[in-house]
Parts: sequence; structure tokens; C-alpha cells
Amino acid sequence: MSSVLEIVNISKDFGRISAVKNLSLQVSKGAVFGILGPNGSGKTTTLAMILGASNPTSGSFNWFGENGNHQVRKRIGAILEFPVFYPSFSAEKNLRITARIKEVSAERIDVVLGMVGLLERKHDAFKTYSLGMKQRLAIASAMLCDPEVLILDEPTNGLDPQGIAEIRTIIRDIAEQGKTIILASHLLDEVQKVCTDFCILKSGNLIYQGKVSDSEQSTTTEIEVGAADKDLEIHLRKIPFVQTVTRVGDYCRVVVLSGHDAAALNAYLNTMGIHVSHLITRKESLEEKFLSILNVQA
Amino acid sequence: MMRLLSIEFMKVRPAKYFWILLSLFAFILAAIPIGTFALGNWIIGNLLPADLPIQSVLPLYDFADIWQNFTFIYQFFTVLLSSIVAIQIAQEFSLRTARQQVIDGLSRKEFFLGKVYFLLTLAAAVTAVVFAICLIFGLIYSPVTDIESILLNIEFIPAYFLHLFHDFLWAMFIAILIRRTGIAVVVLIFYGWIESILHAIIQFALRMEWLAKMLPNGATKILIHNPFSKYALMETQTNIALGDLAISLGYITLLLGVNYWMIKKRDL
Ligand SMILES: Nc1ncnc2c1ncn2[C@@H]1O[C@H](COP(=O)(O)OP(=O)(O)O)[C@@H](O)[C@H]1O
Ligand SMILES: [Mg+2]
Repeated sequence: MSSVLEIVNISKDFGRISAVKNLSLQVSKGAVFGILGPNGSGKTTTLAMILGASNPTSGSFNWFGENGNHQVRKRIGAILEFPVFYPSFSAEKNLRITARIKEVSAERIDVVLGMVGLLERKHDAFKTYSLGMKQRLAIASAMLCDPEVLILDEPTNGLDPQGIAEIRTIIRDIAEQGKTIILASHLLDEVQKVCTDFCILKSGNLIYQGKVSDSEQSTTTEIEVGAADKDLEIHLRKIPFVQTVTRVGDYCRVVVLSGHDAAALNAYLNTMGIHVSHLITRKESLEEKFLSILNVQA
Repeated sequence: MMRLLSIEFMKVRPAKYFWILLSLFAFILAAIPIGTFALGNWIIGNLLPADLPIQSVLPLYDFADIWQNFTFIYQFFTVLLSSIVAIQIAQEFSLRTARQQVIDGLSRKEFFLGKVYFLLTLAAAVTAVVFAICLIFGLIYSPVTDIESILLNIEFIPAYFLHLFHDFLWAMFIAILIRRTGIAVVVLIFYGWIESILHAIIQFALRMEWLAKMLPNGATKILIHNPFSKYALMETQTNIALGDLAISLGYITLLLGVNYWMIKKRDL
């Protein structure tokens, strides 16, 4: 797959704080790429650099294999941190300015406003909008040029559940059109729900990169078993649907193939004549994984 | 260039502050020549002792003096226009629209050029109106209206244009430096006041006129000297000194350079 964005060893210092440290990333065409990290981990700073709003201290990046100048940004739709518009101007007047900057036809304005459900409010001043509407207008603005890449930074920040659901539906619809999307978020759930690929940033360092599907597969059911029988571990290994067994203190932690659960394990052990005295199911979610990755690196 | 200029006009045309300040300035442009005539003659007729040699305010409107007289007075109201500039540009940073526009595909150079084109257009339009006002009032009240007298001293019109452009670039500098709309306007105005006190100290107490001339805000008014001393029969400079022109052009170049550099180098 051809890569849309390539970042090579990019760094950004603010005085003595280094916000981004030697970050390298590749985003391939058609990916919905999540940049996950807690607040202050350098997500916005990274996006600001690759969008020309902030000058990197060192390192480089390129878009679509070209050495990015400002022309390339006309093919990208991006919002950083929060929706930015002239507050007293209507949605339409604001988008007219954007259309002129991006050199796209003003006819696109109604198309994108329709897409985010703001067509009826297009003559109202931006400042009269609710936060959810502002966020949707920002997405509309990013979609004006029918971008090859859409970049969203915390697009659901501060929204109520309904607003969040609306934004996610819009993002998924856009992803289905085959567009490349880069989504920065501190919400794991968000990345998990909409992204195909993701990376984790912490204090400006890249600490993990992979596919969401891989990490979901490894979202495993782990069962903790205890029994008086001292050959418990050996017996467990004989069970066909058991994947791995690890000894943790008095207990064994068992990973079973999907479709099997603690009850099945218990029943099987019974047939082997082992009476279980302790049985706990532990599901390790992506969330725990996210947290454990962050902690390990602390 | 037209694209960049049209983008700038799209940003001010729906803005209230733009029309309020512009209308106020337009009102002053018209009120000064009309008011001077009406009020001035009333004062001369009713308040001043009758034995003074001054009979009317009409000499103020004489060609070729009118160019210097009115451009000199109008200079004191330029702050209304430079406030437009300061608000417009500081807002781009405080609202983060400058950043968004660069993200959307404007280069920093284009952002800078758009502003400069806008300032040039505003300065040119205001200069054209001032030219028309002086011409009309001169044709009505001046005893001499031959083409030669009209054209004599008309260099104060291009000088006024340079003054405007210089003053706008100064406001742009403050706006880019400070980035907060309200504070930028306050600094623009207060600094102007503080500097004029400083100017008086340097010029009269320290007697360093050359240094006084170099003060950045005062330098925007360096080209058009006070013409009214001549009505008190004092020696008055009625032309543009080359040294002053050099200072003015030097400042314009410097401000263009510094403003561009700040937009280019700083994070948005
Ligand atoms: N303009 C700035 N000046 C100084 N420090 C900054 C600036 N912008 C960001 N930072 C710092 O850089 C770090 C990363 O910030 P940011 O990229 O906004 O994180 P995120 O978007 O992941 O929440 C933080 O420690 C933040 O305080
Ligand atoms: Mg952020």
C-alpha cells in the first residue's frame, strides 16, 4: 500500500519541554489511523507540525511522497484541537473564505453542510451554534475540498453522548468512502471504534504501533484457576481448547480459545477428576492494555 | 494577488468593527473641512477682537496650502484606521484563524502578502478620498484655481499615502507581536501617547532632534510638517525633506521585513 504520510524523526521543543521526541510514523492510503495518547502527550503538536502550523525543531515529513509545501495542504482537510471560525460570521460566509483558500468551488458549501446536517442553519452566526454543531461545521469545512486525507484532533471532546454518536457516524461514513483518516484522541474507546490502525504516544514518545484488529484479537479471556491437585498445570495443558498456561502464585492463569469459557473449563477439569477451588474470569480489554503499555513505559 | 486580496475583503466585509471605525473616519474626513469653515468663521466673527489681522479661515483652503493643511490634520485620526488593522490582524491570531488558514493551504507568505495588499488598498482608497476632498474644497474656496497652483505641493498626497501605509505596518507589527485583539489596540493607542511624551522630552529637554525623529510611532508622521505656524508668521517647512523621506522609507522596509519574518518563523 502506498503511504500517504511519512514522518521521519520529527521533534519539537518548547524551551526546555520536548513535546515530541524523534517520532517516525507512516500512514498508508485508506487507513483510519488513530493517534492515541493522554493529554499532553504531543498529539496536537505532531499534527500542527505536519500541517505547517508549527515549525519542527528537527526531522522531516512528506505528504503523498512529495516534499510538502502549502499546495499539498489544499488536498487535506484538517481541524486542530477545536473548531476555528470567525464567530460573528455565518457558516456560509466562513466556508466561503475556506473555499477560496482551498481554491474549490463555492458549490461544495451546500454539499458539505448537508452532509453534517447544518444546511438549515447556514445563515446563522457561528457563535450561536452548540458545541456539537460547531464540531460538525468543522468537519464540513475539512470536507470542502473532498480531501484525500482527513485529520481530526479530539473531534468529540466536550460533547454529550448524542453529539459523540453523531460525530462518530459522520467519521465512519467518511471512512467508508475510502478516505484516509488520521484521528488523534485520548479516548481509547474512540480509536477502537473507528480506527483500523493506531499508535500510542506518551510524553512525546511513540510507544506502540499496530493494527486495531490485532490488538483486539489479543483481547483475551484469561481464567484464573486454583485446585488442590498439584498436577493442575499439567492437566490444564492437556485440555484441547487451552492456549497457554502460566503459573501465578498458587493459581494458574489460562488463556482459552475463543468460544470457550470458565464453565467449559470447569466441566472439563471435572471429567479429569480435578475439583476446582478457585475460578475467576479476567478479560483483558484494549483499555487495560493501553493502560499497561503506558505504565510499563512510565 | 486578486485571490489574496479578495480573501482579505471577505474577512472584513461582514465585520461590524470595520464599518463602525470606517464610518467614524469618513465622518471626520467630511466634518473637518466643513466644521473648520463654519466654526472658524463664527469664532473669528464673534469671539476674537475685531482688530486682529485674521478676517476668515479661508486661507486654510488656498491652493496650494490646502494639501499640507488637511493631510496634516487628518494624520491625527489615522489611529481609527490603524485600529482596524490591529483588530483584524490580532484577531487572526487570537481566534486561531491564521493557523487554520495555513492548515487549509495558505502559505505563510501568502498570509503576509494578503495583509500587505489589504493595507495598500486601504491606504490607496483613503488617499484617493482625501485627494478628492481637498480638491473639491480648494476649488470652492481657493481664490486661485489655476492648474499650476493646484499641482504645487500636491506631493503631500503621496506623502499622506506613505504615512498611512507606514502607520498600518506599525499596527500590523503590534498585532503580530501581541496577538490579543483588545490588548493590541490598547498598546497601539497608549504607546502612541507615551511616545509623544518621550518625543517632547528628547526633542526639547535633551535637544536630540535626530533621535526624536527616529521614534517608531512618531516616524509615521514625519513627512508632513505642521503648516499652521506660517499663519503666525513663523518659519514653516512646506516641502518634504529628503532625510525624512529616507527615514520613512527605511521604516517601511524594516517593518515589512520584521512582520514577514515573525509570520514565517513563529508557530501559529
Ligand atoms: N505553545 C506551546 N508552548 C509551550 N508548551 C507547549 C505548547 N504547545 C504544547 N506545549 C506542551 O507540549 C506538550 C504536548 O502538548 P500537545 O501536543 O497539546 O498534547 P496533546 O495534544 O497530546 O494533548 C504538553 O506538555 C504541552 O504543555
Ligand atoms: Mg491535543
